[in-house]
Amino acid sequence: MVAKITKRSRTSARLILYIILFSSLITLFITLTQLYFEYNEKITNVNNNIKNIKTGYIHGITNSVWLDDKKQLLAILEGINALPDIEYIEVVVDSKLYFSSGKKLTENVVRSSFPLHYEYDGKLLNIGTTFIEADLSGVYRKLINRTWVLLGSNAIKTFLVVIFMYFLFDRLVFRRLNQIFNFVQQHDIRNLDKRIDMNQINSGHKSDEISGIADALNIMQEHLNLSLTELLQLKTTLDLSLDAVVMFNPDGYQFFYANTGAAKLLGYSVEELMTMTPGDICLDFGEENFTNLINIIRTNIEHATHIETIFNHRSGRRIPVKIILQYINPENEEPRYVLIARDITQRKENDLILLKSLEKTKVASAAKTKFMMSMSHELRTPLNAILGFSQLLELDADTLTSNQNDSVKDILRAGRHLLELVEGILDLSKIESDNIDILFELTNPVNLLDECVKNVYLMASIKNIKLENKTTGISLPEISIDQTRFKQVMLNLLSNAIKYSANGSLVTLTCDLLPMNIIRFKVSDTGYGIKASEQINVFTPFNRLGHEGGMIEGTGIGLSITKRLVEMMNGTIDFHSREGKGSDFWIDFSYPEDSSFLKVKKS
Amino acid sequence: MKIPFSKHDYRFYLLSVLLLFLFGISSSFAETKLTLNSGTAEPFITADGGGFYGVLVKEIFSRLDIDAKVLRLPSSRSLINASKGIDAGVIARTKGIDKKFKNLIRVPSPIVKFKFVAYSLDKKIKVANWESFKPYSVGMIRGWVLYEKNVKARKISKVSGPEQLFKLLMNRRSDLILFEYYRGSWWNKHLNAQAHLIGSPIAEKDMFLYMNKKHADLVPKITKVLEELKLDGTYQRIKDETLSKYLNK
Repeated sequence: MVAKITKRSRTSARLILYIILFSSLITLFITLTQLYFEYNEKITNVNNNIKNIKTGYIHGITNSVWLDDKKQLLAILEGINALPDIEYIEVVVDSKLYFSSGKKLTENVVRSSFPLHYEYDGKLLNIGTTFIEADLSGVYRKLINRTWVLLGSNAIKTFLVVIFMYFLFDRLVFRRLNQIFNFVQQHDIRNLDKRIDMNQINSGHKSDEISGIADALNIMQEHLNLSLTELLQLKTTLDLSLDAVVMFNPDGYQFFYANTGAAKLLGYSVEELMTMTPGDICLDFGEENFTNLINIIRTNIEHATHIETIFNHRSGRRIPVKIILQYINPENEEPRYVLIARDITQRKENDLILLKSLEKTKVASAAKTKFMMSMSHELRTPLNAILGFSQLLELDADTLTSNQNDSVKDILRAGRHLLELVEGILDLSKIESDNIDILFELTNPVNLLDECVKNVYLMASIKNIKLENKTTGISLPEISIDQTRFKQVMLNLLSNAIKYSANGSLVTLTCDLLPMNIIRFKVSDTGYGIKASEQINVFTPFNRLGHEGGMIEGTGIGLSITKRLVEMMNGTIDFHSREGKGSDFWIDFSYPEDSSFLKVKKS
Repeated sequence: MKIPFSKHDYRFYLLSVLLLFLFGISSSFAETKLTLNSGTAEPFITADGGGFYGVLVKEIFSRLDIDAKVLRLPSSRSLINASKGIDAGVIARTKGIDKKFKNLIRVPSPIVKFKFVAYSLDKKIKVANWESFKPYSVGMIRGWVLYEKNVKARKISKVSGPEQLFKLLMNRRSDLILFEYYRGSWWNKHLNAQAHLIGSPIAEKDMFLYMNKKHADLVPKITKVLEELKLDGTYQRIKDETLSKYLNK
């Protein structure tokens, strides 16, 4: 309350002081101006008197001097001397005092002289000079009196104006400002919901700048309240975050913020953390190391780094953490560092378990691959014998009964299917065990495509499927592929298209050049398509996508092998399918920028 | 063959040139102009520069081939002007003023003689000397030192000028008045005062012409001419023409 009164009194006192000072200056200036003009007027009056004396008395004085009539001259001079302000007059003839009247002055005097001319015998004679002295003491005395009157009246005027101004300002400004001041003074972050009482501010006044200020303060208060709420929410979120969040300054690296997550993680209170630095919580953050890290962060683009390290718990326990250390330098704010750490003890343990499992899996997988390779090899040898003898039996069909011939055919079909399965497993095993070699060479794929189409032509014709090769005769760029594996891939796609299409369908092979130097080989069919629910398992080995036990033979590993081979040749494979409408399978390869094909195209 | 100029012709031309030269000199003399003044009034000097002094001065200076004139001035001013050299000289001043006005040089021969007389309306009054004024009231002009110093009378009235003096007498405020003879006669006639000259002059004083130092060279010449005028009767003639006609008969 005391502060309030003091504040208000100071402004009022300053205002009064300024008004008094300004008014005094104005008063002084006006007084001086008035005095100056009055002085000039008085001096002009004196000069006019002297001028009038010159015009009115010069003839008489000249005549008296001419006649040497001193009595007459004395009468004239005494007459002049009796005029206001004129204190002394003398006539000088031949540089000698001829006659004078009055008392000669030493100060506050205006002196004037005029020659006495007399026309005689056709000539104008100078017969003497008259000197007049006017006393300015009276003028000064009047001016001094006038000064007091002016100063006195102006001082009274100033005093009344000051009183009036003070009353006016107090009523219009100070009281209302004081109300606002009281509000602002009592205002703090805990009562941001309070508002200035506008009725009190506007009481008896029209809406003006002061009520505008109060309005603006209320609006600001509202915004502050909203901002504070948001800020508190953010702070609470940050404080209660499970991750440890600390912030520190670039100078000295001392923490200026730590959330409860950090306190929990490190075993210190938030207050204790405020006195610590990153070096106190992490052995890796020794001064030199940490400074290097900070420099790296400050110079990289993201201003951040993700690292895993070990924090020291207060108890001495070592806590593996993953941290994000970021340098934040917002405009108009002090730069700072924020360190967010997450306890990864559990993940580390999981990783360890996972690693052990992976090791076991690798061993098992290697054993499986080895087993399958040996199994395949072991199976293929007797299978070839079965197929060889079966083919021999087929050649002697005439000697066999009809039932025996059917059985031979069944043996051959089953044997071929089994061989296909075994070879597929063998391929898959080789791929998985990285025992397959890819021989890259720049190849024009047109001929290979043509060859593949020819290979499946018989298969298509059996089902009366129209096989359309749109790549025949077109100009294509050379691509870096393994020719054998490329053919294997294309044959798999074409044979699948034929296999999973109804009789009389259409299978089309096209090739397109896409932007970014991509060449796309696409096999489209109008076959059965793949169920949407099964499409996720298209490239999963041994998954036949609902055709298990069906009429269509297959191993379910063709597309898996195809995908692996395409990827080993640096290509990609994808598909689009709608059940009952057919499928599109395509593979993409990139071709070199300086391809001769491109050069020809550009030319 | 005729010679263009004969011996006689040559002499004739030489004489002509000489005469022209002399004529030129005399012309230049005649062109010199001087102004003199006088503090006296009618009949000695009139407003138009005539009167006794005017005519006399013209006569004197014309004999010196100088064109001169006389202006009438107040008494004090006439002395100042002459002393300062504004005027060449001042006429009718008593002997000895050159002691006070060092720039003035007196022409030794008097130019006129002033006679100090008394006038009265009463013929019976008789005065013979300064003592005889005692029974009367006397009027005089203020500043006339001779009268102020010597007259002892029953009552003395001092006035500022001649007209006031005669008015004093005419109004019978004074038994007699004291004045100068020639001027008194002029004023008596001018105002028709019917005053009578009482007795013979009480005093007489020679009045002189004073020249400014600048014209000191003229003083002997003026003296000589003035003497000549007195001798050849010109002076008397001028006096008769200008002064005597006003005298009481």
